[in-house]
Amino acid sequence: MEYLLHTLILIGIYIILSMSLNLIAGYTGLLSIAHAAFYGVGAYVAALMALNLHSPFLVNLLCAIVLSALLGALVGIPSLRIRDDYFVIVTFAFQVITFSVLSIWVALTRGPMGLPGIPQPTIFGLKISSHVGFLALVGILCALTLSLTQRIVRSPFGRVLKAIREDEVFAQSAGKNIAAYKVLVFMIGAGMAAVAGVVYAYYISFIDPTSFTVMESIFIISIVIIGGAGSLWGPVVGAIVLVTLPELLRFVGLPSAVAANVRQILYGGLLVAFMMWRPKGFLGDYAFQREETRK
Amino acid sequence: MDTDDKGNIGSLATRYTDLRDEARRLRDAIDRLDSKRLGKWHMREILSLDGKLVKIARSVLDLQIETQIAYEKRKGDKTKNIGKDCEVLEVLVGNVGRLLESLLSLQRTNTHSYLLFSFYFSIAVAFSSLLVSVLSLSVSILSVVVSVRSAGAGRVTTDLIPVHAPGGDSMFLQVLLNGLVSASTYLLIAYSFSIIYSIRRVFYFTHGMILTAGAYSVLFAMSAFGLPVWSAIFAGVTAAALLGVVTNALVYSPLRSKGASSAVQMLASLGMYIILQNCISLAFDDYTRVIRPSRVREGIDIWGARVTIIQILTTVLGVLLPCSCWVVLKLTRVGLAMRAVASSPELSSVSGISCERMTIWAFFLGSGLAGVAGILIAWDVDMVPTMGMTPLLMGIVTLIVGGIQSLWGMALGALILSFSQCFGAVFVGSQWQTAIAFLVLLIFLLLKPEGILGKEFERATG
Repeated sequence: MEYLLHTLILIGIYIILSMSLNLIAGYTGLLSIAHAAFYGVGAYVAALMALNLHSPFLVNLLCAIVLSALLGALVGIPSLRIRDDYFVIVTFAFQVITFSVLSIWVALTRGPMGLPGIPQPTIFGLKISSHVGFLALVGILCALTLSLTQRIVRSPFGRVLKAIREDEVFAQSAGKNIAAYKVLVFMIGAGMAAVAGVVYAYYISFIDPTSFTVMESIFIISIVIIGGAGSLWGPVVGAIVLVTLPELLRFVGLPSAVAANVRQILYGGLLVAFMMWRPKGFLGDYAFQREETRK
Repeated sequence: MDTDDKGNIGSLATRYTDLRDEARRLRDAIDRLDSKRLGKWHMREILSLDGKLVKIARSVLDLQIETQIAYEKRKGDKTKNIGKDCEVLEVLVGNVGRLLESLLSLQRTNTHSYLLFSFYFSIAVAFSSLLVSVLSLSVSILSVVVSVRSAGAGRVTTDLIPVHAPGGDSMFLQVLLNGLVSASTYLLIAYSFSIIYSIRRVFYFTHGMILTAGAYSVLFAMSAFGLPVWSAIFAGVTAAALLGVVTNALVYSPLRSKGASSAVQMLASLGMYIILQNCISLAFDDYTRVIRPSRVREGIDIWGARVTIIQILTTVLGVLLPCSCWVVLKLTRVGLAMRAVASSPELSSVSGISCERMTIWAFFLGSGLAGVAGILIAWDVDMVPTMGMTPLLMGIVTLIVGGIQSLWGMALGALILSFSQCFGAVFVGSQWQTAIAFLVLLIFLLLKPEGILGKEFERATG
């Protein structure tokens, strides 16, 4: 039972993560592999504040969102000048730099030793300590993220994002300030990813840099792509598939050392297979190519 | 009718004299070129002369056909008095034919001088890299001799491993040497990556795994088949090259035939990267493996700085391999075809060059070089299945900093990158090397996105 709840909580966290990345990559078309960096920054900010300042959960959440959003703006700014594949390299660079900071700045983050003993959160006097409690928290946050994404996507703001994705020059010629939109969408996406990070930190109660590597970023972008970039429910489907499918391997009875690798091979293979035969994913309406590159 | 024909013959004759004069001027120019010593700046001249030659040969050819037609018409025309006109035309046909022949021989000389130039140039490159390696070797041998002699002269010591404290001048020298070693590794990786990138314009991340696979193939060949080191290395390089070709054939080639964008191909390559990395860690486990045949030896002492033999070898190969590959690609037909595809896939496929075949060549060559780089890295600092990522990223950074089209730019980029890393390591700490590399990348992408010596840059900025 606890195992099932644990899996569900993980699915919830990845839904939040992939939905926020979907805003950036799926709707705006800015392919980014820096999402684990925002996730990690959110987790670390909340954990450090909870451990050192003993501040309440909601304050930590807010601070994590704000700081991560600022970092998101920092990544978004290069997207104004650098585009396509080169931008992916830039986000890659940002991811690696963030990982280095998390693992090297020992004075603050304790580096590879990680931050243990993150206290259980209390919200409005309600102490969350059980799996059920965390599942409820994740569920509420998921619903909030989903409704926020829905509102954003259906608003004029969301339509401009799609226009930027399909034809940037056209969007610009229609009088839209592309720079502001790009930076803003990065801030929103990074802030949402920070929410997932905060929940993760409180739930696991121990964080270290290895949870926020490049591989994690690739995993999140795989969820978005396999679920379907640019669709509201795509990331939900993707997160469910990609989190549960490897869990099923546990029941096959592989030794744990092999299982980790097989899981990775499985999702790498899924990524390649989807790129080959269904680049739009399960539900998506965007396949990471602009009109002019299609043949 | 008659006057018209007369005028026609006259115009043919004037055209002949014009072309003859031009041909004479060209011949003089080519003669002058031959008498001078050929230098780099003559390249453009040779090429422009070649273009002119082709143009004039074409018009001479036209003239030949026209005179021939006029001549036949005259000869066939029995009714008229043919004597003089026909004679004139006959002479003209002969003259034009000779002119054409002399033009062809001129072109041969010109091509000859072009080849001569390329030959000299490649020899110069090979010689200079040889010189560098001999110099570094002799310096190291000299310093060994000096250190041995000074040790022997001073006292009979029992400590075989001299204690050296880094600091002062030797520290600076050490940083310099380390910088050179890593710069040449970066150059090798960046060049191997650029062979594929320049043709396909996609960041294939599998390149990092091919590098790793090369190193692990050597391990496999030595442990499973008991091959001696050199044949194992050969097997490793071959395996890496073939793996590159296979990934292209299995994944990237079908993707391209579906018209997939570079982003889609890049994502697929990330998936392939994960698959390959986990296959290797399944097959060989995650712990550190060693292919070094002997024990770790203390490096050679160069005025207090230390370099190992393998580091010297890395430096030599890191400079020599890209340079020689560059020269070979400059001289061979395959190289020419690859450059043609790189500059315009559509035009080159129109003129009969198969883009897919050139891509296979590029994957073969680039992956083989990556295999060499992987083996060198594994030899120097041992290997784990995740070893490929950092070298790959450094290669990409070098490529972007230096400029995609130019080998010299890449060399400069490798130097900038490795020295900023090495001196950064001195001032801020060696853990920050990756972060420093990416800071350099960001600075260059924002300020000079086409790289130091890059010529064209159509995609990164808009």
